[in-house]
Formats: sequence, structure tokens, C-alpha cells
Amino acid sequence: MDAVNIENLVKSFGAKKAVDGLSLQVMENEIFGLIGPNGAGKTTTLRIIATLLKPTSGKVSIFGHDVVTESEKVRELISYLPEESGAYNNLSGMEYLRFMASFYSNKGDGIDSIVKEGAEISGLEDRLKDKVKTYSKGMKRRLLVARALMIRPKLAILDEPTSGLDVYYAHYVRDIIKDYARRRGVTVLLSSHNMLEVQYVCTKVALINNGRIVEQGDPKGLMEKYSSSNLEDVFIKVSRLA
Amino acid sequence: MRDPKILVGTVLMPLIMFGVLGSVFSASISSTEEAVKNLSLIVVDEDGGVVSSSFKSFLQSNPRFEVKTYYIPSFEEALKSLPELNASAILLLPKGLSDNVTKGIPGQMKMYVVFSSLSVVEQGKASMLQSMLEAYNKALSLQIISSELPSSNPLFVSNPISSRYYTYFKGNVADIPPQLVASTISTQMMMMPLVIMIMLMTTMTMAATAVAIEKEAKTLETLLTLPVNRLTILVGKLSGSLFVALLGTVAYMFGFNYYMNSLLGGFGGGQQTLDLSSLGITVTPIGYVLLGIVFFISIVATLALAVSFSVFSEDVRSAQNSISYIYIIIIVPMLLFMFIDINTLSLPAQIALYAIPFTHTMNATREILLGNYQSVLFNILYLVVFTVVILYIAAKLFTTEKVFTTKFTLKRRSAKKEL
Repeated sequence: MDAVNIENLVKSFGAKKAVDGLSLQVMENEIFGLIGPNGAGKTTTLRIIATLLKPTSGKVSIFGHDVVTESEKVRELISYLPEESGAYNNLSGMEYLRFMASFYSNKGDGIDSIVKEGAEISGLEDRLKDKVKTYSKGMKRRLLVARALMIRPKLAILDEPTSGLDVYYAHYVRDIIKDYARRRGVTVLLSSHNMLEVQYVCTKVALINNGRIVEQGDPKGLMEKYSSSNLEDVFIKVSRLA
Repeated sequence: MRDPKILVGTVLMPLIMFGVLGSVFSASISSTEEAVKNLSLIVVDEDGGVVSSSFKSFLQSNPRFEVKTYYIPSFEEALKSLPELNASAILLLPKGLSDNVTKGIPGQMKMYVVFSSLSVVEQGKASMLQSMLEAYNKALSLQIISSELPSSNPLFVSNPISSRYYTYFKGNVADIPPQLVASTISTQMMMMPLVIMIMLMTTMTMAATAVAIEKEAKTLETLLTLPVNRLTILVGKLSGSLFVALLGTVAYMFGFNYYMNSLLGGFGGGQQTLDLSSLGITVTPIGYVLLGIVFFISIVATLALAVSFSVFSEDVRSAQNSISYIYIIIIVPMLLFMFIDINTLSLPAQIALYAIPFTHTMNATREILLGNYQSVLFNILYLVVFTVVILYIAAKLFTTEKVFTTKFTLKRRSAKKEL
């Protein structure tokens, strides 16, 4: 079964079409990268998949469940990390993870086990006892990535997961995503405008521009097809052809 | 709730604010009392007769009016000496005063009171000087009666009939002067709408902040993708605000009570509160239950209204700015209930006023005090209908994508669409 199936998706804001006839499929256990420049329609597409926005037309389903008519069921299967995301500043990192875990389990043991996993993913160790407002941007992002993955969602939707992070933290977060998805069998759909990052993490990528998919395939295959050494070159060539 | 600013703002601030106000008021009373103790008077005695000498003896024999007195022969000189002597007033005993009084013609003393500042201290000084002349007038009257009617009782002649006032209200008669009832009720009627207004505005700010802070801290998107019904999230937001608002209301009540005690206690016997229960003006157990229901529904209506507005706000400041426009529908009924009788307004004005939900909150509070429970039930019904409609709108807004796509910012005071 497709983890994500999008058919001819259109999303308009007034006269402006942010997504314009986009179609794609993400298979279960894939780490799928949606890449494209700013304003290409990545975030809008991910927000529709996450049930935050409704499509103007077209069909989007997650593991067979429609995002509009079965939005509550979809929310049980997904975990969404927005590009600009925050945590509650007056909670400690541990309290934040526990609060978020409580939405996924009613039992004390269940919550403990989720929080333990979150603490491990974040790698923040003793700093988890400190309030979130004392964290650096990188530490906060690690906490948020841990929050998104700790519940072992069927589909993790990560919008620019390394946005604003320095090289060290970006590398750490990329490793976490790659390792966790492999170990736990989680399907990941991530967006990025950093094409080298996607090339490193993803098993399959789709290039998006002006609200449409202009090319898709596995990174290695695309690089061979366009005789390029990296996805950035691929994207430039595809854009010129389009 | 975990944000200390919320508790400091809603619970501690009212206590501090009213505490400071109460202390300032006490300090003002102390300074008035001090100023009254240090009164000084320039007496210009142009009369030089029996009245002026009896006035001097009156001042010496009345410790209540301990006034430092300077005697200066002319009014012009008295005026010149005023700054140097720093006197509180000039009392002019005009020529012929004693002659008039001894001939049975009313005399006149002239008191020129110095206004050195625009504070309440001046009022205290003026009242004291006025009381002093009234007391002397009374003493002089008794002296005249004694000399003219030696066989009579001067106290009886000066005041042959005494009067005692009672108040009748809704079948109850109380041994309380109507002026005292009126002043006490007006104090309570002034206090109640003010406390309700503060309570509702606090609640509104809390609820608007609760949603806007999620947007500002970028946590709302995550929250709305959790496997929880969005209405549950909305109810959670509302109940959190409700709890804080109720805590804040209690703090306001305590703070305001302290302030009112400082205000009323400071005047000693000048103003006093009294128990109005003998007139049936009291809150019965049923009244308390109804009051609780009115407050609760009003707070829920306020929360729903604030959430409906704040979903369009980008951040906390914008949310607070946007809800400031709806403060008007709280302030208007409050002011009207404080200063006028709404039933005297024209019918269209009454209809317009009663369309505002918070008019019913104010009205119900007053009617509960007066025991008119039928009217209160109508107020509750209106508030319930209004609350249900607004909650429905708030829930609709919260479950749609408008919460993300429409923004109300401080820069542009109109809703704008975001891509």
C-alpha cells in the first residue's frame, strides 16, 4: 500500500495557485524527499498531508485514508514537524516530551516508554531537565525532531528538518532521521531546499517547482540520467528543460 | 498556566494594584488629618463688639477647634501677611456685626479660605472651618435664647422637634435613614459593575493570549496535527483560561474589598456601610447560585468571543489589540449601570443596550441583590443563547484552516490572506 498517494492536487489562495496539479506516491518505509526552491509549494503540500489545510481540488490519502473525510484517522498515523516550530518555553525538555506523549498513550508505562525513546533520540541527556527557554536553536530542533519521531508514527512529515541549524547539528539531525527510519520502519516524507541533504538522507526524491512535480526518482538514478554529480545540478537542468 | 507572567498578571497584580491604591488613600487621609490639626486662622476684627469677644472665648474653650489664631486689624494687611504666616484662612468680622446681632438682625461673618493645592487636603480644611463657624453659630444661638427667654430650655427652643427617618423598600421597613441606604446602595452599585468589567476583561485577555501564544511560539500547527479532536483542544484552551480567570476574579474581589475598606474606614463616622438585609437587599443562597451561573456563563461567552477574535491574530500583541475593540461592549453597559437608571432610557436605546450580552451580566447582578429572580432567569437565558452561538462560531473557526490562513496584524488593521 502507498503510504502517501496524491492525485492532481491543487491548492489556491485567492488567485494564486500554490500547488498546481501535483501528483506523487510515497511507498511504505521510504525516506522520500520533496525538494525545490522557496515558494515552490513544498510546505503547502505537507500542510495538506498533515490535515492542516484542505485541498482546493484533487485527492490525498495516507495509508488509504482521505485527508479531508478521514482527517482524524490520518492524524493518528502521522507526526508533523513544521519548518518553524516551537516548544513550550516554560516546560522542561522532559516535561514537553511527556506532555506530547500523553496524546498518544493513556497508560503511564506507555507514556514512559515513548518519553524514553524521545530522550534517546534527542541526545540532550541532562539538559532535558532544563526549561526549553534555555535551549539553543539547535537543541530545540533536536527536541522537536525527537518529539516527531518518538511516537513511532506510520508517516513522519518533516518540513525542512535542519532549517537554521549549523553544520554540526544538521549532521546530527540527518543521522537521527536516517537511522530511526531504518530501525523502526517509519516512512518519512521530508522537504528541503538543501539538495545535498536530501541526496544524503532520502531513498527517493521528487523535484517540485511552481507547485508541480517536475521530476522524481532515486537520487543515484536521477544523477545518472542528467549526468550530474549532485541533485543541485539535476534540479538546475530539469528547471531549464521545463 | 506554566507561564509565571500569567499568574503574576492576573492574580498578584490586582492584589498589588488595589493594595497600593488603598495605601495611597490611607496616606491621603492621614495627610488631611495632619493638615486639619495644623489649621491657622487670621482674624480681622473690624467689629470689636460682643460677638467678636464671644467668638474668641469660643475658640479658647473648644479643644476640637484647636486653631492657631493671628489678629490683624485690617483685611488688606491680612492679605499681605498671608504668605508669611502661611495661614489656612482669613475670618472677617465686619463692622456692625455685634450691633446687628444684639438688635435681632442676622449678622454675617466672612471666611476667606486659602486654596494652596488641588488635593483632597483642601476639602478637609474647608470642612473643618465650616464646622467651626456652624458650631459657633449654634453656641451663639443658645446664648441668645438664654438671655431672651431665661425661663426656657435653650436646647428645646433651638430644636423643638426632632425627626427620625425610616426606609420602606419592597414591603420591608428598616430603621435606617434613606440617605444612608441610597449612599450604601450607590457604593455597591458602583463597585459591582466595575468588578464585573475587570473580571470580564481579564478573562478576555487571557483567552486571546492563550490562542495567540500558540501562534507566536509556533506550537499551534503541531498541536492541531495531534490525534485529538480539535474541539477538545479548544475546550482545553478555554478551560485553562477559565481557571486562571476565576483565580484572577477572586484576587480582584479580595483586592477591591481591601481598597473599599481603606476608602470607607478612613472617614470614621463620616461615611459608613450598613447591613441592608433588613430591607431585603441581600444575596440569598438561591441568589448566590444564580450569581454563580451568571458569572460562569458570562465568562464562557467572553472566552468564546476572545478566541473567535484571536484566531485571526498573528501574535499576542495583535490578539490583545484586536480584542480591545470588543472591550467597548463591556465598558458601555458598565458605565451606564454605574451612573444612570437604564429603565429611563428610550425604548430603542434600551433594546440596543440589552442586545449587548454583558448588559445582562450587570443587570442580573443588580436584580439578584434586589431579589428579582424572574428577571435574572431571562438574563441567564439570553446569555446562554449568545454563548452557544459564539461557541459554535469559535468552534467552526478553530476547526477550519482559517486559523492559519487569515491574519490580523498590528501593521495592517484589516485581515489579510497569507499564502
